[in-house]
Amino acid sequence: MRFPEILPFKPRAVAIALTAVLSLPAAAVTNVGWDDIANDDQTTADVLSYGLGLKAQRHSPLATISTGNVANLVPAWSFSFGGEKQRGQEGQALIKDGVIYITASYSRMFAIDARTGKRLWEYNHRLPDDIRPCCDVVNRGPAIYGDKVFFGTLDAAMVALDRATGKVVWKKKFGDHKVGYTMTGAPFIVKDSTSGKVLLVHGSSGDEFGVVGWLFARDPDTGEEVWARPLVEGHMGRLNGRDSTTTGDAKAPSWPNDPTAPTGKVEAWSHGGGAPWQTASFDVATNTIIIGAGNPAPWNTWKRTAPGDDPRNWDSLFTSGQAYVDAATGELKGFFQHTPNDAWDFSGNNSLVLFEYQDPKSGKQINATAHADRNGFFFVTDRDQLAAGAGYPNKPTALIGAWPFVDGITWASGFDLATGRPIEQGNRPPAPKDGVDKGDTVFVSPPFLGGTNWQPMSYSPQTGLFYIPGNHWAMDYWSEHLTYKAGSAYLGQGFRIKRLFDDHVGILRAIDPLTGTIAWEHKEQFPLWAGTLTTAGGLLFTGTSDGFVKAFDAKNGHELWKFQTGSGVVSVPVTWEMDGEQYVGIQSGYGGAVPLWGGDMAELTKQVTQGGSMWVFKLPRQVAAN
Amino acid sequence: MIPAPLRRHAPLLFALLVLLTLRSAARADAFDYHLEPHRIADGVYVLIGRTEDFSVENGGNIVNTGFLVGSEGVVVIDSGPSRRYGEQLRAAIAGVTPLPVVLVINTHHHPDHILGNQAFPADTLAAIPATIRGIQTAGPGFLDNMYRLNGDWMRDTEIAVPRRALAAGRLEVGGRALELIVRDGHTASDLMVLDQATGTLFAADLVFNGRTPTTPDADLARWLASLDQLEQRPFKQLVPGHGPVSTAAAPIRQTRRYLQWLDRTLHDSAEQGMDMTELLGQALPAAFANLAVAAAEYRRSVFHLYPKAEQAALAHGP
Amino acid sequence: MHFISLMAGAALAGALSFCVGAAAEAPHPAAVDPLGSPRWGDLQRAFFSAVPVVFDDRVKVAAPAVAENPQSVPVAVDAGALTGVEEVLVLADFNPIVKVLRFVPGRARASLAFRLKLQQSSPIRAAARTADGVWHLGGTRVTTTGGGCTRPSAGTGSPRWQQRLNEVSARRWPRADGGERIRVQVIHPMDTGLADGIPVFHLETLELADRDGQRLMVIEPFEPVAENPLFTIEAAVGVLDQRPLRIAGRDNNGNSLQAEVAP
Repeated sequence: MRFPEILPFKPRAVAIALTAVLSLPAAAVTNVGWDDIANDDQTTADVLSYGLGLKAQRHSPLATISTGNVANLVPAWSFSFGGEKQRGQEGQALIKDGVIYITASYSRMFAIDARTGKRLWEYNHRLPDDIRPCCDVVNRGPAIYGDKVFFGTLDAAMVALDRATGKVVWKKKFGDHKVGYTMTGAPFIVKDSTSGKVLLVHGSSGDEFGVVGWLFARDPDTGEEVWARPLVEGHMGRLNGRDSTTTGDAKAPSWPNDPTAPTGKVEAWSHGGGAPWQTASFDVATNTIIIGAGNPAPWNTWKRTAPGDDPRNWDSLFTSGQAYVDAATGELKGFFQHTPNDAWDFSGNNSLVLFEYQDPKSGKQINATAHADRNGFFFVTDRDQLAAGAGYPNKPTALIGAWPFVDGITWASGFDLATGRPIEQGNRPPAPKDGVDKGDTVFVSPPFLGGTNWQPMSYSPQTGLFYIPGNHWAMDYWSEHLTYKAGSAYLGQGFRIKRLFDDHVGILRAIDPLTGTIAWEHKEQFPLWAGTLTTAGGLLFTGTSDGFVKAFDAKNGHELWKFQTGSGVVSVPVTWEMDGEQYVGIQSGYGGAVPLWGGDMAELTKQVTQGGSMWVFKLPRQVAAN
Repeated sequence: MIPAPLRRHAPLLFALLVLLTLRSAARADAFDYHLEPHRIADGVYVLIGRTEDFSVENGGNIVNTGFLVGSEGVVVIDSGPSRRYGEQLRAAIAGVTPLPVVLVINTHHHPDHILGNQAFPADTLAAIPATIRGIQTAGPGFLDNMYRLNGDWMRDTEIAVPRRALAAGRLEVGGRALELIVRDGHTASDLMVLDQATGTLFAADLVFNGRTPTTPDADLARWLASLDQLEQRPFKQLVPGHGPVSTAAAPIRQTRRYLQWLDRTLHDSAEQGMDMTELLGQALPAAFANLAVAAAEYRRSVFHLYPKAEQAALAHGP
Repeated sequence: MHFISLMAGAALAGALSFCVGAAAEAPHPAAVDPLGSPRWGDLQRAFFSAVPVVFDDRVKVAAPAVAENPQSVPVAVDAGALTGVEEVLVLADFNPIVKVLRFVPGRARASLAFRLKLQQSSPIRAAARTADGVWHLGGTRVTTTGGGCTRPSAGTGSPRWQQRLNEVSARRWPRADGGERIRVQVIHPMDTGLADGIPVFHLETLELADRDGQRLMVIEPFEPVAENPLFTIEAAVGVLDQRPLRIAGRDNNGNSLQAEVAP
């Protein structure tokens, strides 16, 4: 009501005040260049990539906070994402120039002053009602380059925002959300050494709805597609707007034929999944993007097996494995499949961590990739062999080692290192008998929620150990008939998630990549669904579904500190240095796949309340100085 | 050869092989409904579905559809249970006349009458406003169920909601004079179409012939009132929603007798304090036992209608 | 067996104490379950650990083989062929909330008919505990489309349930054997807490007694009992003798109900 009075008299004053407010963050923005990103694992003042470095080791050289003083850690501030949209907060924050960029549930992004917790701007993506996320309305974080931040939205689009203002610079829709395409993973910045161009790389989600998974590379300035690669064998890729090559063999021999179908292949091939919905890592030396491929669709193994044949003859490539993609062309150079003809929705998306080690036998330095799969096995593969790009992409013999990192695995007893294939234990759910709706039930552990899941593991060069946020659980599992219906779940399986042990579900384990030995473990009553972070201070940080942020001694697993955030923690911690102090940041807000997919876990996690906030911790000044 | 670890499942794999072979045989048939238009009067054609439940064997073709060929165009009455059906219906019409389809009437909102809509131009789709609302609200749920029951026959079927609103009364279309008669009872709005030139009455699902009526949205009292009115109306031929065409009123009486028996049984059982599980276990009287799918439809009707009868019996006390 | 070898394979350092009792390697009790349910082992651990259990044909569970509406599946439990039944528990193996209802027959016949919600096709079981502490189990399988536990109750869309909450309608019928049948319906949404944004809200106890306070039956419905629950109870000759019947109950929000039913 007073507004009309002021406006005619003081327009100049209003304009000046506005400019001052807007220029505050704008003045602080400095462009992020490729070198900043390439050195992210070494620089402590910023966090510029998902995984804290191209190798995704999630290790910080910061040592101010250490095993000796971490018990004194206190909150610096907390910021509420607000609204009624309090679902799972699974993001990993990025930090640059004292600003935190973090995504929140329902496709939101916030810029927050890292010193004070003050909101600088907020972007709320207007979502249509018919989005189809399988596993909660989560987002796992942004990417940053130049003067922009980027994130994927649940209606299958990639959005670039101006870092200073939060205004949309460009938006590219990459799939039809109505048939099931969506996006939850954080995008990733790489530099193609052939062209010298920086690329924004992101995948797609939607395997549960029968869409074909794609990996995209875009110009970060304009959003224009450079190349796109489908992960189902025999589908055609794109390069510079034109058809490029088929993925693998054009005849797709890993999928059965169906002469009566217009495609000549079984129906599942047209809806085959393999979505690379997590974030890539990047091998600079070989110019290779390394990313996990999702489960084949449908889950039902018999729909991807020739009638009467053994499913093990039909691998459903290139799904449920690790993919090595040429940054210049989008060609699939190499692939290692963790679960051939995946009948259990194990998927292959979990983080792929690049590391080097001395082979204990030959003493040779090996460039390797580590991966803890939903199928319960920890894999070490030969990165150079997979990135070499010669011949047929599927290279099962690139396997160096595979060890169980959880107990009670039922589907395979181990891996045959000579063939690189699992030693299966007859655990595939049989097809329904004639005239019956369901097949016989089998008991499977781990269940499709996985021995671990999207929550990224970390590596510590100090200890030489990997830290896996794992879970002990199982499922009753049976096959069902199914028909493809656009936009409907495309599974052909029924299930009920159940406990494996009375006293715990979460099992945080430190594993030695040379021997597969479990160095230590820590049990949690609730499922673990947060990523881990290691620091040169000898620490391991993570969060728990019952709301704690915790710090452990990375050597022995002793719990040194914990803080209750008020809702479940299912996000990914980061750490950085500012004004001479070390900070630790993590989001709180319960959700994700676990409470949604029912069974015993729905019962257990009913006790966790919803939330949505960013928490930042540091040492009191005098403690840090001592 | 079956590798060792799976050998103990050999009988299962064999069963699977047989099953898949049978299914492949069905597939080779390319999901053909074998629709045959029967000419029952001058320019009047009907396609008679099976008197069964929805199944992967019949692909949902348990419904009667029809079309009227006028001097300028074709009027379609109900579009069938799936996109494939709609497309095959359209092809069948093209085999009879080169004239274009100018109007597709959905008599009511049940899925077997509307899911072929996609095959026809959007501006030809028409229904009573209450039916349009019913398709909008209940359509997606019906569609899910139809995929579950009929399997791959439903491929690519989506809801196409009619945009054109019809009203009761005379309608000249495509060179044919029609009378649209709006009643209710089977659903909240049941449209009947009388072709004036031939006296053919498309009664839709107010009348079942030789097949047990379905009641998921039924109001039995109103349905019976609609049947009373219908019997007063002269016709030369009557096309029921399900079952064969008739020249006599027998199907009307048969439908009425069944609904009256059902209504009385539900009412009396509630008054006697019977529990639903007891009612479900009862055998049907001989007069109805030989109607197609009698036992299954009777049980469904108990689920649909008994709670209301029980509430009435409890509310007014002894 | 795989389990053991994998533990060795994992070469676990340090002493790890596993709760073996809960692990997958318990004896395969499904083999003895006449309904062949993979969930039986879990149910046994959760509800009948360290107590004697027998599968007993005298415990009858009647329900339709195919249920049209997963939000309201009629079921009739009858353990009246046993003597000295002290309590009866009704369970649905594949429900997110397995426990459906418990009742103490008191002076009534150990039988009860009502309706329940099913999340997916499932066995429905009744377990009757006799005075000797033995649980007698009967059951049947029901096939349904599912989703009954996670959809909002039908009444939630209208304000009617608030106005009529805990309203009781009841009626009594003489039985041919001289006893009585009582049917009681209570207006209640019976929200499971699993539908988005709707908290758990359900009737917790319903007690039927004569005017002198002699208990006929105590019913404890849990979340899976269907909306506006309707119970059918049987009393043998001489139990009520045409005396008025009092009904008292309470839901988990403390809303109480009271009614009296004349013969």
